[in-house]
Amino acid sequence: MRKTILLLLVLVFILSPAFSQEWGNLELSTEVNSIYGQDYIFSAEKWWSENLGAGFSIFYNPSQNFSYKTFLQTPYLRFTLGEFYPKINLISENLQLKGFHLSFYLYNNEIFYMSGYGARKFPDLPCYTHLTNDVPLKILGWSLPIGENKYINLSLTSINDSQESYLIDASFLNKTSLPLGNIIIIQDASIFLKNSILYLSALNSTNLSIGSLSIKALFGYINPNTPSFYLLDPGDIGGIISLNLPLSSNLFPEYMLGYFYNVKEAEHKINLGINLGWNLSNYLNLTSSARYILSSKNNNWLYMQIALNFPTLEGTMWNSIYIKYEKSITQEDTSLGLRITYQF
Amino acid sequence: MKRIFSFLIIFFLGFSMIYAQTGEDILKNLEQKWSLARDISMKMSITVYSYSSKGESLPTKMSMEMKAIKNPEILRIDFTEPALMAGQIILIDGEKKITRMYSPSTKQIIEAPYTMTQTSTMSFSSLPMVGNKEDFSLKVEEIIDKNQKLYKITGVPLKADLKANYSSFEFYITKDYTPIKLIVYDVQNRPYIEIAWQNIKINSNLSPNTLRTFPPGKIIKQKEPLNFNTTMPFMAPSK
Repeated sequence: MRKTILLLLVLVFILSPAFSQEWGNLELSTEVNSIYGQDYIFSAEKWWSENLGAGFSIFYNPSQNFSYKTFLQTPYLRFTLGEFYPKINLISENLQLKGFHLSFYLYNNEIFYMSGYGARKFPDLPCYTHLTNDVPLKILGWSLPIGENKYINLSLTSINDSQESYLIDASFLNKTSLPLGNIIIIQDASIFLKNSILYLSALNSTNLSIGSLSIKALFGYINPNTPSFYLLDPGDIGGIISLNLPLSSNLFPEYMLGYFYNVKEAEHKINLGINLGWNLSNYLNLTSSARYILSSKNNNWLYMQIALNFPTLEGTMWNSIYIKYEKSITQEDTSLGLRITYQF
Repeated sequence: MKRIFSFLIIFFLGFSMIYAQTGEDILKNLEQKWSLARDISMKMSITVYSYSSKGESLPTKMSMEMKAIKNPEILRIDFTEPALMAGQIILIDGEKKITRMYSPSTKQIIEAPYTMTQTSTMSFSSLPMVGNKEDFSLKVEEIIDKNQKLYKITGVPLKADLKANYSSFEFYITKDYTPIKLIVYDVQNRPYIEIAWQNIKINSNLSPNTLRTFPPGKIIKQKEPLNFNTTMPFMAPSK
């Protein structure tokens, strides 16, 4: 009874963002990199309701290229044109497509079609974001709820990279509500068809959040002959887990630990990482990140970032100054960046 | 001379008896002091006790920092304990008619409309009163705790429905009407709930901008009001 009383007191502060929406966002940023020169990014988004919104972004690098993205979301249609990060399933986060995306919404079903040139990219890492999108892709997919808090996503990807091959993907999401949070489990399986041979890959993503605690895990296997749109390289088997638990009310560390064995390269890889957020005051926040991949083939990789963030205008605008450093066996570069974000 | 001295003693005793404060007076003064404040900040902890079958106490503690401004009406709560709640921030903004909640694990700020049917922003400044004259019989003592003179108000429930839940409460208040601690005892006279206040500052010129500024996070707006209520349900167990 007593526990219940305290729990009730805690529960009243818990809410579900299930029907939430973002209303508007403006972002201006510039980043100078020792290899890639200076990038300028401007983006704007406006949402009038949870399914009516529009936005665009512009990316410009004087020595490299100019790109853009524009989108329109309506209750029955979504259209995106330019360079963007679509999802071919419920886990993929690292596919960037240069082309277009069209979605139709019919009775909670989403049917989507994408076409363009793709590349595997990581938005924070300059060595990836400046890659050229050169793999021709056509993707047809269907996303639908199959019960309360259960979703399924099916897609067929055609990859025309010197020869036609196909990726058939199915992912399933199950969300369970917990007293102070939820647990989301996504299972994904894909079959890659190339030269009449089938290659199987499977992934599992689990995200547990209870109050200020969160635990994320991603593990599985990507066949070496299959393109990857994930953290895992083709041929990787293994997993990574991260734990986020505050040390105090203003110090928020996140620890990451992973191990992968690459069957193609016979390479063992240990992933280590830590992110730290420190609210020094209401007007100054420090975030830092360090990732290290230790490879048995000496293919080590290091990434570090430190940022000072200055919330202003009662927290609706925040200005950020950051330094990035990345080092691999092939290159080493440093970036200095400034980002201004205004949410309204 | 002896007569004069005796008269003086009787006079001062009588005077002090006439002006001795009742429990109701102290609680009224306390409430008045808080209600007149322009802004208040404090640290507050709430401990709820449960007991094992062997009778061992199993306390569960929640701590927070609270800051409130009366005009414009703004209340901000920064949770510090337990670790599962640490870093979460709640803002009730009566002027902008919004509520905000920041979660460090998602780095999201959930913003929702604030309706006047929800708890009044400044209601926290009305201390969790422990009933009125009809609910409790109040006894006042003056004690010294850590070299500090305190009022100790002991309340015993009079109504049957309150008696079914509580045996008594002890409320410790400084001479200048600052609350220190409230302990509510269950029917077996064991601690049931303990509320402790620290670092209470009144009229320290809190700025609305400071209270409204959150750590960097993505603002997510939702149409439905947040369903929270800052009243303390255990303070009114009979209702």
